[in-house]
Amino acid sequence: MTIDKLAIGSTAIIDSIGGEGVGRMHFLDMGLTPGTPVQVVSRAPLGDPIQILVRGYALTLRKEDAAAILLRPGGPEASEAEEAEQGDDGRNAYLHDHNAHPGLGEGGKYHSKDHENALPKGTVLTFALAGQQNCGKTTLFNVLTGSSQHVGNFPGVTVDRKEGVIRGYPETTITDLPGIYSLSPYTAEEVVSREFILDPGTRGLINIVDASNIERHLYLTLQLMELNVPMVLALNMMDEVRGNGGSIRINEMERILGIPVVGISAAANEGIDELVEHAVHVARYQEGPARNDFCGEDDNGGAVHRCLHSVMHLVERHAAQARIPARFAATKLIEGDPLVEKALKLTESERSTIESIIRTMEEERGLDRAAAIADMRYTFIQKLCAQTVVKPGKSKEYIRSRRIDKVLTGRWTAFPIFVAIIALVIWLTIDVIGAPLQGLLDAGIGAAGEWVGGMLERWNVSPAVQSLVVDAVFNGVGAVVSFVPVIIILFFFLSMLEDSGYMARVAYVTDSFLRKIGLSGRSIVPLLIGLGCSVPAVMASRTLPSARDRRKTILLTPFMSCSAKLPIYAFLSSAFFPGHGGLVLVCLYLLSICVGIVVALVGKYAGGKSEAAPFVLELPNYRLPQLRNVGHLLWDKTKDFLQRAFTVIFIATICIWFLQTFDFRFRMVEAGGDSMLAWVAGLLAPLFAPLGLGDWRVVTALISGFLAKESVVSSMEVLGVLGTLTAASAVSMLVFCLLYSPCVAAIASVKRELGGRWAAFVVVFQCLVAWVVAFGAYQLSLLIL
Amino acid sequence: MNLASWIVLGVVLAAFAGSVAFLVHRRRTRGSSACEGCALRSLCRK
Repeated sequence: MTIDKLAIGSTAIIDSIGGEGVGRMHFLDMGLTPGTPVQVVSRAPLGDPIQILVRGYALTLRKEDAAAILLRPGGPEASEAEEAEQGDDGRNAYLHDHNAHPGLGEGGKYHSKDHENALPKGTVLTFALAGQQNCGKTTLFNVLTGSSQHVGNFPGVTVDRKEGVIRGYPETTITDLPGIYSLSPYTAEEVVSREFILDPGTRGLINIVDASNIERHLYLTLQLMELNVPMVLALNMMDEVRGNGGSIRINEMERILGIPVVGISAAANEGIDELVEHAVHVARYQEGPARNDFCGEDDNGGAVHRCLHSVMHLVERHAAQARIPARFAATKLIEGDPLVEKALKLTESERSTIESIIRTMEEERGLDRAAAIADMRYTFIQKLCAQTVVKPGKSKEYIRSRRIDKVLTGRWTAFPIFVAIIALVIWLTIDVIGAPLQGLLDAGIGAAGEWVGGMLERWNVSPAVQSLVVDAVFNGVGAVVSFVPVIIILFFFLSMLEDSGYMARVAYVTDSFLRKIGLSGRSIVPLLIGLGCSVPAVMASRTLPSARDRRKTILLTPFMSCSAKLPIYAFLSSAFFPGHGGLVLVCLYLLSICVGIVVALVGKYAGGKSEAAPFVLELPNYRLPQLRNVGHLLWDKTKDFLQRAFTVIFIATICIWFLQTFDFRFRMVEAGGDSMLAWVAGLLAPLFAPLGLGDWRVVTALISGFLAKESVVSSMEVLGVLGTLTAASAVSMLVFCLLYSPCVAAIASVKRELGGRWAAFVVVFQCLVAWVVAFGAYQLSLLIL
Repeated sequence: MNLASWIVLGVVLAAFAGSVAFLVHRRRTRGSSACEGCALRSLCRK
């Protein structure tokens, strides 16, 4: 039997993991190893993917991936009995002769002075902050450094590497690495993270784990320990563990692991001082882990132990030359890591000897190499947890999440609720809260403009300079600034959805549908972020493990109408369709989604059939969004928007004002049609004539949108575009603005992720699509309006 | 143009130059020093 055939609520034991490559390795890393009990919790509304409970956490898998995992009958009881039969073979005999108290780091007792290896005074202590996804790394980073990086409740929020200085320790720097599940070389994040940790410049490592889901998180810890870098283990969310009746014997754990272990709660700022003290100490005295051997001599016959140690001895010299710890090199060689194999520069005979050792281990152990190594690590973790962890009962948060999920991911309720939530967000943003605030700000800016205009008049300032200040600065930039409330409110709702954990559910619910158009469920997150801004949306696509899904998602993201386009819609609809702004907006959003789907389908069939990447997503518990996080995000977005308004948009507006006020002899023109701008835009105008947008002023406004979409409004205001449009051409303008090329910042993001060719393709392709759809919309409008 | 016109024009042009300088500065200071010396920088999509 396989997982996809298991009924909801049933439990069975994993017998073997089929499949190959990245997906299989990922399953093993996530704790889906032979002998582990799994329970099917639910299925997505369209029957796929499946949500399972494994090692105490909820994981989602697609049916076709689940079909590769073979099961045998049994439940958690059977698995525990097997474990008891194996018994504790004393493998965790303490490596230190310390007694329980004082333990490592207690009462000033850190290390043996005999092996002291202190760094010279003044050396900058560079730390890496590493951990699995959604374990609170960025929250800890913010607490340590006092910065305000964005924190979310969705696996993979950190897609960029961030640095800071630990507060109170000016001689330190800390880097927040992206969340990784293991050190396998299957994603760029994992490769880059391990290279960063192994770099001689990195003096220490802070490994943060989610204490409420400790087994799976310790899997990465063991691999980090194999790197032999001074490290500290931070058990995060200890308040949640204690609150649910669990506890962890921290001294016992640090004695067995041989590294300092500190219980913390990053969100509540608990245990941080102690953590920093330990981290600085181990880095300053270069205290590596006291243990990096996790294979028991008698574990399952000792096959893995013998194999690992044989390979370690064989590669020891090569590993020293390549500056890779021998234990890490050996495990990675056995797992088949091509980068480590290349770095070691083994001879042909060494390679064949190692291959023969591994084959012998596979025969003796009855598992393939990757599964055997994963099983070895998880066996150690299970025994460690048996000695040190009192597991909490089902947490309040989990029970609450399950109840909420029955509605939000229910078969009949999931999609209507998703559509209702998105519609509610748009309605509240535009009509209910945004519009009155925007009107208020607009009136304020208008009044200020009039007052300044009056002052300039009284001072007899020349008409050209008056026009520069009033038309360009106040009317142009002011028109954009007045939309600040709308943008802030949209980001407020998006961050609430992400912080609460709902975004991960949206990915789970929509995966089946998105696969039909050639995307992954995880694509929904960048696409929804694209409603806010295309730049972070393109960056958020990094959380997609497959290059194919990443590329498709990036290419589709600009079809999601970003918030910078809202001012254009509001400006045109209030002028041509007063009282129907909400309806116009819903129609535009629906149109962009439909065009996106058509483009995705064309891409799917034109791109030929290729294997879909596995969809493995952890569903975090629902949380109440933290006001501090939401506040930080809103402040960042407001700052960013105002910065853009007073830099890019200000510059663009001044340039446009200059070009439309003077002719080629730098004389002020009487009529705009004689200006430099009119001449340049006039060259392109015939291209837009079939769309009803053949006037040079409209073309100019569209060109300014390449710099920033908000510039379209300021340009329309400065050039007086409204007078050149009819209702039908306004529809055409709305549609063209909805779909044409994203702004320079978004194009630069695409270039950074996919390269210059794809960025150029995005510009040309989107302009073509926008032209075709706007042409259709214009012709239709001529018939109707 | 009278003195007031020159003063107002000067203020606007100074703001314009400041905006350009800010954009150039921000572009130059972007990027992480942590990438320096990384052997796999070419693989990195950051």
